[in-house]
Amino acid sequence: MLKYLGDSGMPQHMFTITAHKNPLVMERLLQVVRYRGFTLHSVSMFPSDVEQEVNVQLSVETDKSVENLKNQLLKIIDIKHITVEDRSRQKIIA
Amino acid sequence: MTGAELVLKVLEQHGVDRMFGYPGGAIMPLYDAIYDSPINHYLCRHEQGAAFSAVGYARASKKVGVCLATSGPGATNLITGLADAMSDSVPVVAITGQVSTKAMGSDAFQEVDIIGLSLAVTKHCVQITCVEELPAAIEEAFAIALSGRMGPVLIDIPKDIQLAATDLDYVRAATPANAGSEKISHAIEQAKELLANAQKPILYVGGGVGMANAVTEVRDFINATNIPSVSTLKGLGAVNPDNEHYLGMLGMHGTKAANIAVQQCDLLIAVGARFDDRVTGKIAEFAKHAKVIHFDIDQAEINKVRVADVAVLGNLAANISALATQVDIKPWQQHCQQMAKDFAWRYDHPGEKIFAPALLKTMSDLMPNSTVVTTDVGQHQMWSAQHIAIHQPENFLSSGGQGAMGFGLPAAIGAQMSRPDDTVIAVSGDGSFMMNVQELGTLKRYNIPVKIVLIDNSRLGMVRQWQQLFFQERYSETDLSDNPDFVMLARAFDIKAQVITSKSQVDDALKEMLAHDGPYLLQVKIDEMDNVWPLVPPETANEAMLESVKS
Repeated sequence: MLKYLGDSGMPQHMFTITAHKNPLVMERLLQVVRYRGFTLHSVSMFPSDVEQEVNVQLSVETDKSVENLKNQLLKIIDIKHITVEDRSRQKIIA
Repeated sequence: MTGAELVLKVLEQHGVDRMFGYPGGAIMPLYDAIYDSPINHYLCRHEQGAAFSAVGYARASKKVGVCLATSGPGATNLITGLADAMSDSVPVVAITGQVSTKAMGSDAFQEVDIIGLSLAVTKHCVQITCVEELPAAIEEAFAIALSGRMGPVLIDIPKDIQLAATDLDYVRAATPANAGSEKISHAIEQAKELLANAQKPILYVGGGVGMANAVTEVRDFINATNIPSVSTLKGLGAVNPDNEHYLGMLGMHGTKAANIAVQQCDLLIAVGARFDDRVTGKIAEFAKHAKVIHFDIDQAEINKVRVADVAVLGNLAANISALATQVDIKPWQQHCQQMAKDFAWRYDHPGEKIFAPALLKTMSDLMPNSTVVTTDVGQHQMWSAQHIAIHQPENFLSSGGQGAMGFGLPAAIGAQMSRPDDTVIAVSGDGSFMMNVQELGTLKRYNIPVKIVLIDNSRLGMVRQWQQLFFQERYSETDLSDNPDFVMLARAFDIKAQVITSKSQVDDALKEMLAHDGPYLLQVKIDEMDNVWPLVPPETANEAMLESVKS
């Protein structure tokens, strides 16, 4: 079961984020993740079909509340929407 | 019209009549436009002073404070003020000049990536890329600064965009009514049930109450329930200080009654407060028998530090009004009142030396209730919070979250500019005062009638107190006995000043200061070993207060 956890042995959580297309948005995202004490595991940014939007997929390894991180990220003005999934649990179930 | 003129036109239409700043190369076009603008600009003597003045202006008036700086060092000097505004949720719009677009990214003279620097200390920041963006960007900055949990926004404008000619004109659109803002949270029924079943409830009042314009509603709730209440540093003034069930400030330097009551309560109702570590002490021990109802505008504060049994998000005024319910808590009320009586402040103090708490209590009794008190950071700040009766939250301005020394004088300048008819007193310490002492130049330049009460122990007092208590009396770098002659310093700026050293001088000196119609500095010499009591040591439960051990 542990093999589905991140390298740190902590659960991995995937954030799927829709954001306003702003050169600053990635800096803001990464800063909040670091400052709030979460370890970044992976991050990718993709263009969106919607004009002036980008999609970001970001995973963190943590045993802290990801709800708290989600709420902090939602305070970034350019972020429009976030969904979070627990990847480790998903894989275990699968 | 130029970009710079357009900026001022948009600011004017957002009701800006005063702003604080300092000119320099990359913001010269804007300063050139200010030359003809009806907006009053106040030249501060350091950009940090400008930022703190904007904070003081905003907090005392409940309007947006505006500050300006040039690129590079001008912009970096704003950062501490913005950090203060971020921590204390103050609506400030900072405008910085930037080097011209074509020079950006070339390490040009006075170029700094202020956007990168300001990310962590602003609610939002934006760099303008063409003149057409200006009106919408400024409009958005004001809207963001004022919406939800308020905060600072920075707009960085390259010099060529300030100079660019534009045909754009600007007329501010009517603001749509804030639909749904009176909506009452569905969680309120659960909150009511908790309150109805509580034997020992406490209302824990934070700075959010004043900022949400919910002072009347919170006071109505207190009057309807007679619930005992405590306040944070930033919440002071939200509860009527004369309320018979009010126990004063809680936390590290809170009253004994407030801290014990919170530790004993079975229901803690937090309104616009964020469980700051200076409030809670050791978090695992804080009000550990209590259920928690948390009212806040910021979803991210819910469960951040303390898990809430019920969270009530949104409009505080509407929600707290809906919480009012009959409670039968007489034994608890009596217990709290008895503690307030038993642990009341004592102002009897041996010897002829001035006892700062007694002086501040006398000042509080002499000053009008509408007086704005600003503080710096340290012992005098905690004594001010403990011993001055504050009647509205916008009348007590202190750097809460950041504890930024140097806040008091420039914040008082901003407050006085926003409320010219009210008395404004900056209570400072000899350490903090020297951190923005250059703002005496601003007092002189505009003859701003701020009164400065300088509590002088010739020490960096709070650090010295901690060295005494927790660092084996190793007084590293806290001896300030080589301070300048503060009275002579004030006089160098044409500011009337006097120094007092004994108790018998206190009444007359305070009366003279309050009666003086211009700026005034009252230097109050106190014993270097006086300490702030009570004190909850760091990472300790709030009931384990250290009390008046004479140094």
